Amino acid sequence: LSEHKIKVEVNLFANLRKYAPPESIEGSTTMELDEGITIDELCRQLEIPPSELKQFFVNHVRRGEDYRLQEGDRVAIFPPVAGG
Amino acid sequence: MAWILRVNMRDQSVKVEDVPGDYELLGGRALTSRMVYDEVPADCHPLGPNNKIIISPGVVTGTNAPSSGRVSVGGKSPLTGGIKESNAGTPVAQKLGRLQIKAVVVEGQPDKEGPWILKLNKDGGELIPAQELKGKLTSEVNEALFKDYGEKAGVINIGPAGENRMFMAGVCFNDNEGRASRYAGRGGLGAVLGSKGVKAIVIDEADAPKVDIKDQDLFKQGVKKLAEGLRSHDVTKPGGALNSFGTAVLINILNEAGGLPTRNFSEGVFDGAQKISGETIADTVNQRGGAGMMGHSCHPGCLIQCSNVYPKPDGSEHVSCVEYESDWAFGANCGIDNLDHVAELIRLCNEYGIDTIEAGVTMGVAMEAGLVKFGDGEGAIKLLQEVGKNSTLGRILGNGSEFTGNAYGVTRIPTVKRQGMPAYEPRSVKGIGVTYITSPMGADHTAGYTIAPEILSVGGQVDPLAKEGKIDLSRTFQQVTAFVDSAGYCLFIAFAILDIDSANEGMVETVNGVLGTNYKPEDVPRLGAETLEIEREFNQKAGITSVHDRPPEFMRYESLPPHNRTFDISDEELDSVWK
Repeated sequence: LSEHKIKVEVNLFANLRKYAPPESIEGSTTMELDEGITIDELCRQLEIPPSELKQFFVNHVRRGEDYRLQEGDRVAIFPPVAGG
Repeated sequence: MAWILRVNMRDQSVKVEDVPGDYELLGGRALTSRMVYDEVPADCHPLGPNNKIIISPGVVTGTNAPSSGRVSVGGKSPLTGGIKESNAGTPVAQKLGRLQIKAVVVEGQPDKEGPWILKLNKDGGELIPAQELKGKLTSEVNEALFKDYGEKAGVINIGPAGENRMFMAGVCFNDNEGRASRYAGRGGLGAVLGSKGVKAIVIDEADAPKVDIKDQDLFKQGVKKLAEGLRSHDVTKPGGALNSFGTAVLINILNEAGGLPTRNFSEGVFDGAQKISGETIADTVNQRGGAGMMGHSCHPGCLIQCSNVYPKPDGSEHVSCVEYESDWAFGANCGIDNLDHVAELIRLCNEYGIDTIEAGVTMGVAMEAGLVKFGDGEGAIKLLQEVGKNSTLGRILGNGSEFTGNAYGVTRIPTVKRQGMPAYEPRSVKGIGVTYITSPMGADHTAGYTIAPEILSVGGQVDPLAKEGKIDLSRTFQQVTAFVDSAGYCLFIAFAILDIDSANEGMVETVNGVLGTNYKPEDVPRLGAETLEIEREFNQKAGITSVHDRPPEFMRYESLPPHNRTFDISDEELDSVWK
């Protein structure tokens, strides 16, 4: 485990809100995470089944699951959604 | 035997006509655009005697093909000055299909005071004077007509805005429960119907012959494949995002992508997004209970059921429905983060008979002009009520965003071909910008919904901020969409047919089953292109050329936060969409 921690704003949407930590408000909370953590590792930590994941945005840019989160990032985690 | 009902308002004649051979394989948008092209002089005044309204159900509409209850309305648009097709999901579409009506044509102009109701059934139609309905709100019209003609009737109507010939007036169809809430909203076709003195059309489908299906086995096979696709695709399946949260589930993802147009297209992120999101709508419906519901369907046989009924705090019904475009138009676009205010603004639109997108974009422009402050929901409600009053200010607003912006000297007017932009920011999502700019309809997201691969990662995944590949992407989407609009399917089947080959085959098989054709999935873009070509040719004759296939100028020089991009696809590249 990394000794250094980073603070990241984690946002879960739609059907994923049920996996948000208890202190979350409307699927959103700031978490203290290990430095160097990837989105994939964060999702495993949150116990989100991979089949329910579709895509991720970090600071308004779409990123892959191997993206390493950094201090102050805003990460948005989405299941499959659509509309129009 | 399919037929056309032709209503001439000048001599008040109502005639049943055979379907010409070259219209036999057409329906929905393909037919409305073809008939507008064939019959309406491109240089006519949209509100004058030479324009026409053409109403046509899709090819498979009225069958049990899933999510196929769509009807197209066509004519020359008073808003854009070009050809217009706008479609709606409604049980009325299915009634027209089962009556084997290819098209209802309303032409001419009366020389005496109306309005009239057009009543139609399996044998034809008749015009009935309806002075008592003059000036009535759409819900009042529906209430009166369902009382007179029974709850099984179908009702098409226009609100006071259509009677008053406002450019943002839509054509209203009843939903499953008889609400006046489903709209062929875009482009002011309600004003065209109003200019002809037609307040409502009542459809009686007693003893309807039902849709003639040439190859039942093929049709059934297609239905099965498409239905399986819709039921298995993650976004359209029961309990999936569309069904659980409605289309406004898009608010958060567009916001996270920096592409949610905010405060009249001046930012791409709205700090109040969560408060107007599909998630909050669903939470509110659950908390308030009562009449509220998610998973509402606009017509029988829809497997997706993305509509909703939004409740007041006491649980009584406020409006149906708060969907993404309407929610965004009065929400993020006006800086309003109060869902109850948004719901009231949508309700007023439904009652006056106006397009929520055009009305919301107009409100954003009016806020830019300083008529109301951004974020002032109550002020916006009061201002929109001017449209209902038909005051001078209301008439300016009622003619749309470009008209209003011009009246107040605003330069940030988010329109293409004078039609207000929907809920995706072209500077952050380039492909949808190409669609807005090059569609013959003016700014219209449904004309080529590149949001699927750009934002939703459906049908592949492309970078929304990149310009590479967006010309071809938009062109193909526009072509396929023209076919889907003609088949009579809801655009939302696109999510399944983009990702699941068998669903796509099924869609084409249902069309072949009804028509007796032998189209292949690879024919779809070509067939859609035929419709686009005549639409563009009409526009050229109407004076709308490639010079009008341009973004609003401010998007060329104003960088949009958070990505700080301009719309950087060149004029030459835009022209290559159709060359």
